[in-house]
Amino acid sequence: MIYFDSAATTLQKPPQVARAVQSAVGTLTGVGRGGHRAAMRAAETVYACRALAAELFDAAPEQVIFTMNATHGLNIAIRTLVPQGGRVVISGFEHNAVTRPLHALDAHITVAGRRLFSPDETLAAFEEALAQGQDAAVCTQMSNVFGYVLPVMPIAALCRRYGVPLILDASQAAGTLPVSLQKTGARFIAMPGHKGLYGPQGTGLLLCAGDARPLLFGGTGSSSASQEMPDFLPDRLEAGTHNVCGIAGLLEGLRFVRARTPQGILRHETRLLRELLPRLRAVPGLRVFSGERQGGVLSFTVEGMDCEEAAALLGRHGAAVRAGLHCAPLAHESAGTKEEGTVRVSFSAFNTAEEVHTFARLCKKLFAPAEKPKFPTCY
Amino acid sequence: MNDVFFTFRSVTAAMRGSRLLADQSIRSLTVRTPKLLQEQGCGYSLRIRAPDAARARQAFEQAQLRYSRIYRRGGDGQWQEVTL
Repeated sequence: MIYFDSAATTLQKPPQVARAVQSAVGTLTGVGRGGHRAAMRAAETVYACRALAAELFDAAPEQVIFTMNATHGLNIAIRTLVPQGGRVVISGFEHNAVTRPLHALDAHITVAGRRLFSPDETLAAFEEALAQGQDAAVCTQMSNVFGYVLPVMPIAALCRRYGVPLILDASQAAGTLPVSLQKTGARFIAMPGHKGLYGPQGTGLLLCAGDARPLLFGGTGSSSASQEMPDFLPDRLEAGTHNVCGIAGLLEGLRFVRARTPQGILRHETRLLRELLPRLRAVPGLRVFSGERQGGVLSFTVEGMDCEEAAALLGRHGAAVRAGLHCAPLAHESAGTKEEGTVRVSFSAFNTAEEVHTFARLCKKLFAPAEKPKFPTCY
Repeated sequence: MNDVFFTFRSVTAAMRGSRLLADQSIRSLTVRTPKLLQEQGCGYSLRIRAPDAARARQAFEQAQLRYSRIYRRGGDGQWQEVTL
Protein backbone atom coordinates (compact mmCIF):
# COMPACT_ATOMS: atom_id res chain seq x y z
CA MET A 1 0.00 0.00 0.00
CA ILE A 2 1.08 3.55 -0.71
CA TYR A 3 0.24 5.42 2.46
CA PHE A 4 -0.35 9.14 1.80
CA ASP A 5 -2.51 10.00 4.81
CA SER A 6 0.08 11.06 7.34
CA ALA A 7 -1.66 14.39 7.98
CA ALA A 8 -4.27 12.28 9.79
CA THR A 9 -1.94 9.73 11.40
CA THR A 10 1.48 8.48 10.38
CA LEU A 11 1.09 4.75 9.81
CA GLN A 12 4.72 3.90 9.22
CA LYS A 13 6.64 4.54 12.43
CA PRO A 14 10.22 3.87 13.39
CA PRO A 15 10.20 0.23 14.64
CA GLN A 16 11.51 1.29 18.03
CA VAL A 17 8.19 3.07 18.70
CA ALA A 18 6.21 -0.18 18.78
CA ARG A 19 8.99 -1.92 20.70
CA ALA A 20 8.93 0.78 23.37
CA VAL A 21 5.15 0.57 23.72
CA GLN A 22 5.25 -3.20 24.02
CA SER A 23 8.05 -3.11 26.55
CA ALA A 24 6.29 -0.43 28.61
CA VAL A 25 3.13 -2.52 28.93
CA GLY A 26 4.99 -5.13 30.94
CA THR A 27 7.56 -3.04 32.78
CA LEU A 28 6.24 0.43 33.60
CA THR A 29 3.41 1.52 35.91
CA GLY A 30 2.16 5.01 36.78
CA VAL A 31 4.11 8.23 37.24
CA GLY A 32 4.17 9.82 40.67
CA ARG A 33 2.22 6.92 42.10
CA GLY A 34 4.92 5.04 43.97
CA GLY A 35 8.57 4.66 44.76
CA HIS A 36 9.10 1.12 43.55
CA ARG A 37 11.16 0.24 40.53
CA ALA A 38 8.33 0.03 37.99
CA ALA A 39 6.93 3.40 39.07
CA MET A 40 10.33 5.10 39.08
CA ARG A 41 11.18 3.69 35.66
CA ALA A 42 7.86 5.03 34.40
CA ALA A 43 8.70 8.42 35.88
CA GLU A 44 12.12 8.38 34.22
CA THR A 45 10.65 7.47 30.82
CA VAL A 46 7.96 10.12 31.01
CA TYR A 47 10.47 12.72 32.16
CA ALA A 48 12.84 11.78 29.34
CA CYS A 49 10.02 12.38 26.85
CA ARG A 50 9.11 15.68 28.51
CA ALA A 51 12.71 16.85 28.52
CA LEU A 52 13.29 15.93 24.89
CA ALA A 53 10.08 17.69 23.82
CA ALA A 54 11.23 20.74 25.80
CA GLU A 55 14.55 20.67 23.96
CA LEU A 56 12.91 20.30 20.53
CA PHE A 57 10.31 23.02 21.09
CA ASP A 58 12.21 25.61 23.16
CA ALA A 59 10.39 25.17 26.44
CA ALA A 60 11.19 24.19 30.02
CA PRO A 61 10.36 20.56 30.90
CA GLU A 62 7.63 21.71 33.30
CA GLN A 63 5.96 23.60 30.44
CA VAL A 64 5.43 20.40 28.47
CA ILE A 65 2.03 18.89 29.24
CA PHE A 66 1.02 15.42 28.09
CA THR A 67 -2.40 15.35 26.48
CA MET A 68 -4.47 12.80 24.58
CA ASN A 69 -4.06 14.66 21.29
CA ALA A 70 -3.89 18.22 19.94
CA THR A 71 -7.64 18.68 20.39
CA HIS A 72 -7.28 18.06 24.12
CA GLY A 73 -4.51 20.66 24.35
CA LEU A 74 -6.43 23.21 22.29
CA ASN A 75 -9.45 22.78 24.56
CA ILE A 76 -7.30 23.52 27.62
CA ALA A 77 -5.79 26.56 25.92
CA ILE A 78 -9.10 27.95 24.69
CA ARG A 79 -10.89 27.31 28.00
CA THR A 80 -8.08 29.13 29.80
CA LEU A 81 -8.05 32.24 27.64
CA VAL A 82 -11.52 32.69 26.17
CA PRO A 83 -14.43 33.60 28.44
CA GLN A 84 -18.02 32.82 27.53
CA GLY A 85 -18.90 35.13 24.65
CA GLY A 86 -15.28 36.30 24.37
CA ARG A 87 -13.62 37.80 21.31
CA VAL A 88 -11.21 35.69 19.29
CA VAL A 89 -9.37 36.07 16.01
CA ILE A 90 -8.56 32.90 14.12
CA SER A 91 -7.06 32.15 10.72
CA GLY A 92 -9.26 31.06 7.85
CA PHE A 93 -7.72 27.61 7.95
CA GLU A 94 -8.54 26.36 11.43
CA HIS A 95 -9.63 22.85 12.28
CA ASN A 96 -12.82 21.95 14.14
CA ALA A 97 -10.53 21.31 17.14
CA VAL A 98 -10.36 25.10 17.35
CA THR A 99 -13.72 26.22 16.02
CA ARG A 100 -15.93 23.80 17.96
CA PRO A 101 -14.59 24.74 21.42
CA LEU A 102 -15.02 28.41 20.44
CA HIS A 103 -18.54 27.73 19.23
CA ALA A 104 -19.31 26.00 22.55
CA LEU A 105 -18.23 29.19 24.32
CA ASP A 106 -20.41 31.28 22.03
CA ALA A 107 -17.29 33.27 21.16
CA HIS A 108 -17.35 36.23 18.78
CA ILE A 109 -15.00 34.96 16.10
CA THR A 110 -13.18 37.10 13.57
CA VAL A 111 -11.76 35.03 10.71
CA ALA A 112 -8.53 36.59 9.47
CA GLY A 113 -7.07 35.72 6.10
CA ARG A 114 -9.09 33.48 3.84
CA ARG A 115 -6.94 33.46 0.74
CA LEU A 116 -4.81 30.36 0.25
CA PHE A 117 -1.03 30.80 0.07
CA SER A 118 -1.32 34.55 0.68
CA PRO A 119 0.72 35.31 3.80
CA ASP A 120 0.54 39.09 3.30
CA GLU A 121 -3.24 39.01 3.22
CA THR A 122 -3.31 36.69 6.26
CA LEU A 123 -1.01 39.03 8.17
CA ALA A 124 -2.92 42.19 7.28
CA ALA A 125 -6.21 40.60 8.33
CA PHE A 126 -4.72 39.49 11.66
CA GLU A 127 -3.40 42.99 12.33
CA GLU A 128 -6.76 44.57 11.63
CA ALA A 129 -8.52 42.15 13.98
CA LEU A 130 -5.88 42.37 16.71
CA ALA A 131 -6.05 46.16 16.68
CA GLN A 132 -9.72 45.92 17.63
CA GLY A 133 -8.84 44.02 20.85
CA GLN A 134 -9.25 40.28 21.32
CA ASP A 135 -9.22 37.86 24.24
CA ALA A 136 -7.03 35.49 22.24
CA ALA A 137 -5.71 34.69 18.77
CA VAL A 138 -5.60 31.16 17.43
CA CYS A 139 -3.60 30.17 14.38
CA THR A 140 -2.60 26.92 12.78
CA GLN A 141 1.00 26.73 11.61
CA MET A 142 0.07 24.68 8.57
CA SER A 143 -3.34 23.99 7.03
CA ASN A 144 -4.22 20.32 7.44
CA VAL A 145 -6.11 20.44 4.13
CA PHE A 146 -3.89 22.44 1.78
CA GLY A 147 -0.48 22.46 3.43
CA TYR A 148 -0.46 26.27 3.46
CA VAL A 149 2.25 27.36 5.91
CA LEU A 150 0.92 30.40 7.71
CA PRO A 151 3.24 33.28 8.69
CA VAL A 152 3.19 32.47 12.40
CA MET A 153 6.31 34.37 13.43
CA PRO A 154 4.99 37.75 12.19
CA ILE A 155 1.54 36.89 13.57
CA ALA A 156 3.17 36.12 16.93
CA ALA A 157 4.99 39.46 16.79
CA LEU A 158 1.69 41.24 16.13
CA CYS A 159 0.07 39.43 19.06
CA ARG A 160 2.89 40.57 21.32
CA ARG A 161 2.55 44.13 20.04
CA TYR A 162 -1.20 44.22 20.71
CA GLY A 163 -0.95 42.26 23.96
CA VAL A 164 -3.17 39.41 22.75
CA PRO A 165 -2.27 35.88 23.92
CA LEU A 166 -1.60 33.50 21.06
CA ILE A 167 -2.56 29.83 20.77
CA LEU A 168 -0.69 27.98 18.05
CA ASP A 169 -1.98 24.76 16.56
CA ALA A 170 1.16 22.92 15.48
CA SER A 171 -0.69 19.73 14.52
CA GLN A 172 0.72 19.62 11.00
CA ALA A 173 3.91 21.54 11.75
CA ALA A 174 5.45 19.58 14.61
CA GLY A 175 8.18 17.37 13.24
CA THR A 176 8.84 19.38 10.08
CA LEU A 177 8.60 23.14 10.75
CA PRO A 178 10.28 25.11 13.54
CA VAL A 179 8.03 25.09 16.59
CA SER A 180 9.22 27.27 19.45
CA LEU A 181 7.43 28.38 22.59
CA GLN A 182 10.18 30.84 23.39
CA LYS A 183 10.69 32.43 19.98
CA THR A 184 6.98 32.87 19.22
CA GLY A 185 6.12 34.02 22.73
CA ALA A 186 2.91 32.01 22.30
CA ARG A 187 0.88 31.35 25.42
CA PHE A 188 0.08 27.80 24.28
CA ILE A 189 1.20 25.49 21.49
CA ALA A 190 -0.72 22.26 20.94
CA MET A 191 0.34 19.26 18.88
CA PRO A 192 -0.52 15.59 18.51
CA GLY A 193 1.98 12.80 19.03
CA HIS A 194 0.62 10.54 16.31
CA LYS A 195 1.36 12.61 13.19
CA GLY A 196 4.77 14.12 12.46
CA LEU A 197 6.22 13.11 15.81
CA TYR A 198 5.71 9.41 14.94
CA GLY A 199 4.26 8.49 18.32
CA PRO A 200 1.25 6.28 19.01
CA GLN A 201 -2.34 7.46 18.73
CA GLY A 202 -3.67 8.86 21.99
CA THR A 203 -0.60 10.97 22.68
CA GLY A 204 -0.21 14.72 22.42
CA LEU A 205 1.69 17.68 23.82
CA LEU A 206 0.62 21.08 25.04
CA LEU A 207 3.36 23.65 25.56
CA CYS A 208 2.19 26.01 28.21
CA ALA A 209 3.90 29.36 28.87
CA GLY A 210 1.78 30.45 31.82
CA ASP A 211 -1.02 29.56 34.16
CA ALA A 212 -3.73 27.36 32.74
CA ARG A 213 -7.17 26.16 33.68
CA PRO A 214 -7.47 22.39 34.09
CA LEU A 215 -10.07 20.51 32.09
CA LEU A 216 -9.73 17.42 34.27
CA PHE A 217 -9.61 17.35 38.05
CA GLY A 218 -8.28 14.46 40.09
CA GLY A 219 -5.21 12.74 41.45
CA THR A 220 -1.79 13.96 40.38
CA GLY A 221 0.48 12.16 42.83
CA SER A 222 1.34 15.54 44.36
CA SER A 223 -0.11 17.89 46.98
CA SER A 224 -2.50 15.05 47.78
CA ALA A 225 -3.73 16.52 51.06
CA SER A 226 -5.29 19.45 49.23
CA GLN A 227 -8.64 19.38 47.44
CA GLU A 228 -7.41 22.04 45.03
CA MET A 229 -5.55 21.05 41.90
CA PRO A 230 -1.81 21.80 42.26
CA ASP A 231 -0.94 25.35 41.26
CA PHE A 232 2.20 24.23 39.44
CA LEU A 233 2.87 22.70 36.03
CA PRO A 234 2.76 20.08 34.70
CA ASP A 235 0.72 18.54 37.55
CA ARG A 236 -2.03 21.16 37.30
CA LEU A 237 -3.01 19.89 33.86
CA GLU A 238 -2.24 16.18 34.19
CA ALA A 239 -4.89 14.63 36.43
CA GLY A 240 -5.14 10.84 36.40
CA THR A 241 -2.67 8.19 35.39
CA HIS A 242 -0.65 9.06 32.29
CA ASN A 243 -0.67 7.13 29.04
CA VAL A 244 2.77 5.83 29.99
CA CYS A 245 2.94 3.23 27.21
CA GLY A 246 2.00 5.83 24.62
CA ILE A 247 4.50 8.30 26.02
CA ALA A 248 7.22 5.63 25.91
CA GLY A 249 6.43 5.25 22.19
CA LEU A 250 6.31 9.01 21.70
CA LEU A 251 9.78 9.30 23.24
CA GLU A 252 11.12 7.04 20.50
CA GLY A 253 9.23 9.04 17.88
CA LEU A 254 10.80 12.25 19.17
CA ARG A 255 14.24 10.64 19.14
CA PHE A 256 13.65 9.70 15.49
CA VAL A 257 12.66 13.29 14.64
CA ARG A 258 15.70 14.65 16.47
CA ALA A 259 18.00 12.26 14.63
CA ARG A 260 16.52 13.02 11.19
CA THR A 261 15.94 16.70 12.15
CA PRO A 262 12.69 18.50 11.33
CA GLN A 263 14.51 20.41 8.55
CA GLY A 264 15.69 17.13 7.04
CA ILE A 265 12.19 15.62 7.13
CA LEU A 266 10.71 18.81 5.65
CA ARG A 267 13.30 18.75 2.84
CA HIS A 268 12.34 15.16 2.08
CA GLU A 269 8.61 15.89 2.03
CA THR A 270 9.12 19.02 -0.07
CA ARG A 271 11.08 16.98 -2.61
CA LEU A 272 8.20 14.53 -2.83
CA LEU A 273 5.74 17.38 -3.23
CA ARG A 274 7.80 18.81 -6.09
CA GLU A 275 7.83 15.40 -7.75
CA LEU A 276 4.09 15.03 -7.43
CA LEU A 277 2.86 18.52 -8.35
CA PRO A 278 3.76 18.64 -12.07
CA ARG A 279 2.62 15.05 -12.55
CA LEU A 280 -0.81 15.72 -11.03
CA ARG A 281 -1.15 19.01 -12.88
CA ALA A 282 -0.59 17.10 -16.11
CA VAL A 283 -3.64 14.94 -15.48
CA PRO A 284 -6.63 16.45 -17.28
CA GLY A 285 -9.59 17.08 -15.03
CA LEU A 286 -7.59 17.45 -11.82
CA ARG A 287 -7.57 20.77 -10.00
CA VAL A 288 -4.48 20.87 -7.82
CA PHE A 289 -4.08 23.38 -4.98
CA SER A 290 -0.51 24.53 -4.49
CA GLY A 291 1.49 27.61 -3.62
CA GLU A 292 4.79 29.03 -2.47
CA ARG A 293 4.44 28.33 1.23
CA GLN A 294 3.43 24.69 1.24
CA GLY A 295 4.43 21.78 3.47
CA GLY A 296 4.03 18.09 2.70
CA VAL A 297 0.25 18.23 2.25
CA LEU A 298 -1.75 18.92 -0.89
CA SER A 299 -5.34 18.76 -2.01
CA PHE A 300 -6.93 18.18 -5.39
CA THR A 301 -10.35 17.71 -6.90
CA VAL A 302 -11.41 15.49 -9.79
CA GLU A 303 -13.73 17.03 -12.32
CA GLY A 304 -17.04 15.20 -12.43
CA MET A 305 -16.21 12.85 -9.58
CA ASP A 306 -17.15 12.94 -5.92
CA CYS A 307 -14.02 13.30 -3.80
CA GLU A 308 -15.00 10.34 -1.62
CA GLU A 309 -15.45 8.18 -4.71
CA ALA A 310 -12.08 9.29 -6.01
CA ALA A 311 -10.40 8.41 -2.69
CA ALA A 312 -12.21 5.06 -2.56
CA LEU A 313 -11.06 4.30 -6.09
CA LEU A 314 -7.48 5.11 -5.16
CA GLY A 315 -7.84 2.98 -2.06
CA ARG A 316 -8.95 -0.01 -4.07
CA HIS A 317 -5.84 0.42 -6.19
CA GLY A 318 -3.58 0.46 -3.16
CA ALA A 319 -3.22 4.19 -2.35
CA ALA A 320 -4.48 5.47 1.00
CA VAL A 321 -5.54 9.12 0.95
CA ARG A 322 -8.25 11.08 2.73
CA ALA A 323 -11.20 12.85 1.16
CA GLY A 324 -13.99 15.12 2.34
CA LEU A 325 -13.73 18.17 4.58
CA HIS A 326 -10.89 16.85 6.77
CA CYS A 327 -12.63 18.21 9.91
CA ALA A 328 -11.82 21.69 8.63
CA PRO A 329 -14.93 23.12 6.96
CA LEU A 330 -13.60 26.64 7.56
CA ALA A 331 -10.49 25.91 5.48
CA HIS A 332 -12.65 24.54 2.67
CA GLU A 333 -14.95 27.56 2.93
CA SER A 334 -11.89 29.82 2.60
CA ALA A 335 -10.67 27.91 -0.46
CA GLY A 336 -14.12 27.61 -2.02
CA THR A 337 -14.22 23.81 -1.80
CA LYS A 338 -16.74 23.36 1.01
CA GLU A 339 -19.44 21.94 -1.25
CA GLU A 340 -17.28 19.44 -3.11
CA GLY A 341 -14.50 18.70 -0.60
CA THR A 342 -11.06 17.60 -1.79
CA VAL A 343 -8.83 14.56 -2.00
CA ARG A 344 -5.82 15.08 0.25
CA VAL A 345 -2.34 13.65 -0.14
CA SER A 346 0.07 13.94 2.77
CA PHE A 347 3.59 12.62 3.23
CA SER A 348 5.84 11.34 5.95
CA ALA A 349 9.55 10.61 6.30
CA PHE A 350 8.88 7.06 5.11
CA ASN A 351 7.44 7.87 1.68
CA THR A 352 9.57 7.58 -1.44
CA ALA A 353 9.81 9.20 -4.86
CA GLU A 354 8.91 5.84 -6.38
CA GLU A 355 5.62 5.85 -4.48
CA VAL A 356 4.93 9.36 -5.75
CA HIS A 357 5.53 8.31 -9.35
CA THR A 358 3.30 5.24 -8.97
CA PHE A 359 0.59 7.37 -7.40
CA ALA A 360 0.74 9.94 -10.21
CA ARG A 361 0.47 7.18 -12.83
CA LEU A 362 -2.51 5.77 -10.93
CA CYS A 363 -4.23 9.16 -10.90
CA LYS A 364 -3.70 9.48 -14.63
CA LYS A 365 -5.10 6.02 -15.22
CA LEU A 366 -8.12 6.50 -12.99
CA PHE A 367 -8.99 10.15 -13.47
CA ALA A 368 -7.96 11.24 -16.97
CA PRO A 369 -11.36 11.73 -18.71
CA ALA A 370 -10.82 9.18 -21.49
CA GLU A 371 -10.13 6.45 -18.99
CA LYS A 372 -12.38 7.48 -16.13
CA PRO A 373 -14.79 4.60 -15.31
CA LYS A 374 -18.31 5.48 -16.44
CA PHE A 375 -19.89 4.07 -13.32
CA PRO A 376 -17.37 4.26 -10.54
CA THR A 377 -18.18 1.60 -8.02
CA CYS A 378 -17.11 2.35 -4.52
CA TYR A 379 -19.68 0.63 -2.40
CA MET B 1 22.46 8.70 58.04
CA ASN B 2 24.84 11.10 56.38
CA ASP B 3 22.43 11.96 53.58
CA VAL B 4 20.28 15.02 53.02
CA PHE B 5 16.87 15.14 51.37
CA PHE B 6 15.83 17.92 49.01
CA THR B 7 12.04 17.75 48.84
CA PHE B 8 10.10 18.67 45.69
CA ARG B 9 6.43 19.21 45.03
CA SER B 10 6.32 17.07 41.91
CA VAL B 11 8.07 14.08 40.44
CA THR B 12 8.83 16.18 37.33
CA ALA B 13 10.79 18.68 39.40
CA ALA B 14 12.63 15.89 41.20
CA MET B 15 13.50 14.22 37.89
CA ARG B 16 14.77 17.51 36.50
CA GLY B 17 16.83 18.00 39.64
CA SER B 18 18.29 14.54 39.34
CA ARG B 19 19.45 15.30 35.79
CA LEU B 20 20.92 18.62 36.81
CA LEU B 21 22.93 16.89 39.51
CA ALA B 22 24.06 14.15 37.16
CA ASP B 23 25.38 16.88 34.83
CA GLN B 24 27.48 18.10 37.79
CA SER B 25 28.61 14.55 38.61
CA ILE B 26 26.61 14.59 41.83
CA ARG B 27 24.96 11.26 42.58
CA SER B 28 21.38 11.31 43.78
CA LEU B 29 18.52 8.93 44.38
CA THR B 30 14.94 9.91 43.61
CA VAL B 31 12.66 8.66 46.39
CA ARG B 32 9.19 9.27 47.73
CA THR B 33 9.25 12.03 50.30
CA PRO B 34 8.93 10.48 53.78
CA LYS B 35 5.41 11.00 55.12
CA LEU B 36 6.62 13.09 58.05
CA LEU B 37 8.23 15.56 55.67
CA GLN B 38 5.28 15.92 53.34
CA GLU B 39 3.77 19.36 53.64
CA GLN B 40 0.76 18.96 51.35
CA GLY B 41 0.72 15.24 50.73
CA CYS B 42 2.64 13.09 48.29
CA GLY B 43 5.87 14.33 46.76
CA TYR B 44 9.35 13.25 45.77
CA SER B 45 12.79 13.97 47.16
CA LEU B 46 16.35 13.72 46.01
CA ARG B 47 18.59 11.92 48.47
CA ILE B 48 22.13 13.24 48.25
CA ARG B 49 25.33 12.68 50.21
CA ALA B 50 25.76 15.47 52.74
CA PRO B 51 29.11 16.73 51.36
CA ASP B 52 27.40 17.35 47.99
CA ALA B 53 24.45 19.28 49.43
CA ALA B 54 25.81 22.80 49.00
CA ARG B 55 26.78 22.17 45.38
CA ALA B 56 23.39 20.62 44.75
CA ARG B 57 21.59 23.64 46.14
CA GLN B 58 23.73 25.91 43.99
CA ALA B 59 22.91 23.84 40.88
CA PHE B 60 19.17 24.06 41.60
CA GLU B 61 19.32 27.79 42.19
CA GLN B 62 21.30 28.40 39.02
CA ALA B 63 18.73 26.45 37.02
CA GLN B 64 15.88 28.19 38.88
CA LEU B 65 14.57 24.80 39.94
CA ARG B 66 12.44 25.23 43.02
CA TYR B 67 12.77 22.71 45.83
CA SER B 68 10.63 22.86 48.94
CA ARG B 69 12.97 22.16 51.86
CA ILE B 70 16.18 20.39 52.85
CA TYR B 71 16.23 17.81 55.63
CA ARG B 72 18.75 15.63 57.38
CA ARG B 73 18.13 12.79 59.79
CA GLY B 74 19.86 13.32 63.10
CA GLY B 75 21.58 10.68 65.22
CA ASP B 76 18.36 10.35 67.24
CA GLY B 77 16.49 9.38 64.08
CA GLN B 78 14.54 12.66 64.00
CA TRP B 79 14.33 14.75 60.85
CA GLN B 80 15.90 18.19 61.03
CA GLU B 81 15.47 20.95 58.52
CA VAL B 82 18.82 22.15 57.25
CA THR B 83 19.87 25.57 56.10
CA LEU B 84 22.86 25.46 53.80
